[in-house]
Amino acid sequence: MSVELEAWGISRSFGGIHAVADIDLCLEKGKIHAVIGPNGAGKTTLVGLLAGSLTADKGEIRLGRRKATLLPVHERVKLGLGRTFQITSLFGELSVFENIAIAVQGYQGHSFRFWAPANRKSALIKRVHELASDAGLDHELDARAEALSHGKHRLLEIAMALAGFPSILLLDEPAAGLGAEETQNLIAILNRLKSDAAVLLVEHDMDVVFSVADEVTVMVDGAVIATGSPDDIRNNQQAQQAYLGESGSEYA
Amino acid sequence: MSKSGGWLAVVTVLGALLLPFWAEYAGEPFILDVIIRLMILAIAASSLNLILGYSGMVSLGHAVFIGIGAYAVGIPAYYDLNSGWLQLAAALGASGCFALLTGLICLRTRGAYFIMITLAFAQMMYFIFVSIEEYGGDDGLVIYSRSEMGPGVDLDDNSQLYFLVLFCLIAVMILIHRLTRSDFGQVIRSIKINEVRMQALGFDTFRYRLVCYVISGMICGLAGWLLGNFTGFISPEMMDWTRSGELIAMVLLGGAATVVGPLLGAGIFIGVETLLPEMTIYWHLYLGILLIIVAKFGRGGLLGWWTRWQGRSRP
Amino acid sequence: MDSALVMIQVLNGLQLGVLLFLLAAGLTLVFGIMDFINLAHGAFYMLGAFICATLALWLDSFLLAVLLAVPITFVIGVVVELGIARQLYQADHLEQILATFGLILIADTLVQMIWGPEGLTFALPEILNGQVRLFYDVEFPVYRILIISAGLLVALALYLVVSHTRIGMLIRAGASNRRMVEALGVDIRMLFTLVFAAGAAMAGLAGLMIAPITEASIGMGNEILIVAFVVIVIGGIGSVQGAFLGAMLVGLIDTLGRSFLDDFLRLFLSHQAAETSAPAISAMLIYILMAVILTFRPQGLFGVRSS
Repeated sequence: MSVELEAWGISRSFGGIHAVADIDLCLEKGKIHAVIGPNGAGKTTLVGLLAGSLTADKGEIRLGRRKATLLPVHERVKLGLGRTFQITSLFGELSVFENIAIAVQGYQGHSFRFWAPANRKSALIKRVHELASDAGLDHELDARAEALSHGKHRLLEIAMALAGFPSILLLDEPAAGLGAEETQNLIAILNRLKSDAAVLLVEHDMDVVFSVADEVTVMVDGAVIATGSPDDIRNNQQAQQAYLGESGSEYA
Repeated sequence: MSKSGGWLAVVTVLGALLLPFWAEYAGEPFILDVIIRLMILAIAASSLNLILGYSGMVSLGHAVFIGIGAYAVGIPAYYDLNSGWLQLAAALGASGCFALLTGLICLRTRGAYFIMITLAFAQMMYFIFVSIEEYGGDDGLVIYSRSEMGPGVDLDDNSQLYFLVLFCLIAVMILIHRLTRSDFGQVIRSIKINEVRMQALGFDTFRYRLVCYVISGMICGLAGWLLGNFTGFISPEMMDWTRSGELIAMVLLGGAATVVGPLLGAGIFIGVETLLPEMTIYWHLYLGILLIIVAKFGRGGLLGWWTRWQGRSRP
Repeated sequence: MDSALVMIQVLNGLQLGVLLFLLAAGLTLVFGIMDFINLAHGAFYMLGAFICATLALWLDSFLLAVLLAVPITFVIGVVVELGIARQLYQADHLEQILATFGLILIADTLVQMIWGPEGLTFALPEILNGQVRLFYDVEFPVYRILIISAGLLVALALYLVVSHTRIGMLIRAGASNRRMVEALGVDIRMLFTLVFAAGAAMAGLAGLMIAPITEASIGMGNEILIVAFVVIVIGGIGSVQGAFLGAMLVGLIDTLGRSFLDDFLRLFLSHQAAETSAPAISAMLIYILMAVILTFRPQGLFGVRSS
């Protein structure tokens, strides 16, 4: 399977605190790589560094064959990177249709088209419907995004991240706040996703992590303390103490 | 546009087309001057609305583009270059270039910094024109001849100028209507709501905001070209920051992020400016109070108030 | 260029600098702490000048007029904060601009109603009217020396208050993190009123000091206010030190540019080209400075919050 994203020794500190320290990471197509760790371990900073909303103090990031360490967010997207946000980040006052449409539009080169009305092209409409039905949002297309339930917000986030056929997906706690049924739905979506993309999954919900992850990395205080297959991590002493020990002993 | 809105637009345009004939018949040429000024300010306010209302960039220096457009009439005219097309090209070119150059710096900042930097750049142009004595400095420059647009057109005839301004206003409103609903418009409106997300969707938001800023500056330059022709006198005072403040007031009075809002706002503003001084020399006091009330309670301006009122009366 | 002239222009630049600082200090604190863009801050500058001029004419004492006018502008600041400004802290910047633009119109019209459309002038006492010999043949007006000293003193006092007292600590904390101050259980509304009124009093002081040289006139604060905005953008919003450094830079560059730029340009350009381009370029200098600083430090020299 092909390597889509590589990071070597990336670090970032804020005012002397090492939020992310010397992390190596490799994402392959067809695999879900989960990152777990207690709050404040630097997981969201890591996503920011990979996505380009933060720049690394040290280290190197490659997307496919391209060196991407210093590229801004939108150029990394053009190289096939898609992401969701830990805190839902949508266009609240626009409809679900418009939210997905703008995401599709972002994938189509440029939008310097000043005269023809937006959202009328049949190819775009078709793609929006496709993404909506994949995420189970067919019936909400006309609703305002802010009027949706929390669970649907998370699904809309994913639908938007998928608009550009990303080869790399960074998902920041997609299961946060989901109910049991919604979580099962999410797991199904994640399993479908991985055939097309390399997925980084930052997640607190261990049910989700251990049912979909192919590889798990445990982060504590900005550093990696263990990485391996889900089974390795279940049996890893250090990982258990640092993280699983408190909330996930049932997996030990 | 709703059906009744469409009819209202048709009636307004018809009325506007007949106005010069009525003004002449009724012997009130003054009314034509007032409406020309109103329409020119409506063009300027519409251009500001494009960046302020639709894409959330609060510029406090927009009147600078009126000044640039007006000097693009005055300076060529000073050298006896009266071709209207040349002056128009100069107005659009100069305001576009100024928007591009300052935009490259301004648009790297956000919020309050953006407000103050647009303000500062406008004030810079103000002081530059104050300091150029060749073109009248502080005292301004008289334009002795309006733009020559070619055979058959004589802008010295006020009603012909009126039709030109009316044409420009309608064209600008149609342009903004189309622009804000196009792919590009969808992008700038979405940037206003959530710029971070737009970047994460692959949009180079800086470029879109810059293009929007340049288009807005050029439309306002057009308003300046018309205003220079209309007043026949230009001075740095046209780009003073209080003029920019008035443009903001117009946009907010009428209703930001709507196509007709700026026109309504310019109408209210001109109405206040024309009628109040007949009642009291202290009319600025009442204008000031009006602005504070609009800021405090007038979300959405006149249009917003109208929509809310309609929403309430219709169950 | 002779050194005496340079010396005098440096002093003039310092004078503009301290006036700008007195305006910018209040502006930057109100902005940094309350997130409030006050376009009407220049009104206090104007009010200080008019009130002082009136008192000086009534009481026939400049000193008494100053001693009364500063507290009066402070009180006006308190009234404006409680009556109007306080309502606007929660509003967005656009609404603040519209409302404070309205406030300018109101303030200018009220001044016109009370004092009439003409400006107000008054004479300085004899003792302040002379020149002081700095050295050799360099003479400088006593009163301008006084303005500079008074401004520097206020700057020093403000610095001490902000960096060495409990109130100052709260002000600094408020500029970088408003929530924290609220969490400390401080009556933040009192702090806001105090900061706003102190800013008003400093602006008033600047206005009344310049009034004997120019005159008290309607709208006198509106133009210098824009330069004060440039100062706080350069210095960094919320920073008193930044405001001071920015004010001095802007004051000196603007004054020296206007006096010596044509001489300087003559080194590269023809006499005539230098003469015609110098005024325009010197008008741009401070804005160029601002653009350069923002390109490298978007949050200003001492910015406590990034843009």
